[in-house]
Amino acid sequence: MPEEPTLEELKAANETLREFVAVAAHELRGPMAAILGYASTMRKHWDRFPDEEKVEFLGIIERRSRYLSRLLDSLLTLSKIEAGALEVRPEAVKVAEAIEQALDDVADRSTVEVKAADDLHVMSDPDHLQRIIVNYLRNAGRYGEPPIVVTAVEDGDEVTIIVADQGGGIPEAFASRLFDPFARATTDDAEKGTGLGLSIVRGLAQANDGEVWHEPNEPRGARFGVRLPRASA
Amino acid sequence: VSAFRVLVVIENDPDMRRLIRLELMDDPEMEVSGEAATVEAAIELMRGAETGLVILDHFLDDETRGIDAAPVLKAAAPGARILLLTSDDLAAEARRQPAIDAYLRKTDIDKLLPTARELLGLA
Repeated sequence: MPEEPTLEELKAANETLREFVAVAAHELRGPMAAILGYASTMRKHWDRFPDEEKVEFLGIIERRSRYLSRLLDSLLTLSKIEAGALEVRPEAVKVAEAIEQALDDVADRSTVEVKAADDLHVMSDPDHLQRIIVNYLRNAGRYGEPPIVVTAVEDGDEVTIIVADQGGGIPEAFASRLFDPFARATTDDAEKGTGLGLSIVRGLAQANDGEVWHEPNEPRGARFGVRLPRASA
Repeated sequence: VSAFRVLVVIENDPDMRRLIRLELMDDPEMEVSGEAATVEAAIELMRGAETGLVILDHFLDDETRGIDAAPVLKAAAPGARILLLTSDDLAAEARRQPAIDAYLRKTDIDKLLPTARELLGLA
């Protein structure tokens, strides 16, 4: 039988949840206020704005609505991970193929170099592996600089996949919070991403018996890694 | 009638800055004289100018919070009224901060113009 949590542990978990809900609510309110504001301003002053300006306002409403939708999807994924309710269907996945599929989803291929042996396999839920690589690639695209290099190497009973970029790197003070929900280095990048991508990566890796980390890249930029159990083909 | 100077201080959300301008643009007695993303930049903008109203967001750059920054802004522009405009429910916190003259949620942006006029004694 697993040990019952102590009262202190329950209180701490409750406080963490309360803080998470408060931050999530704040993240939802920002775009919601813009959507409501532009809709209301257009409705009140319909005749005052030329068509081109109204199209611009609708573009803002659409962009911020899409962001909200992505944020809600990410929140639901993260809540499943945190609740241990994530369905994991591990199988032997060919790493080079997973990287290729992730690239199809994300990137300008010309800025990405892939170094992965063709016969390398990991034991993982294929959707989760792809999401991990996609999120790392998106991060590198948003905050790093090309060329982005994806490498996958065998490491004993495990496989290490690294996504490296040549950007400004991660500020030292921020590095320890990097995989926490809604962690952002500055408010400048609000709405570049949902702030949940790396915490989802960590949760998915752990659910597949893996681990994640970050380290500085040489001579510049950041390296994001995931280590997963190796599988035979 | 000379226009009042209205300064917008807001989190770096250009959509909201534009929306605030749109809400105030019809009023000939108001002029949005500057926009800033930080309190420091706002104080620089207000230097030498007679600012009638500061519209202040709560979540600003550099982890500054509008409620904490309000006394600093008030000291820099003692004649200015400060309106805290935020997406979060901070009514109680805003009431406890004497430097804040009014508080409005961003979702109630249609009340911005009447609130601003009231603060400037134009209502």
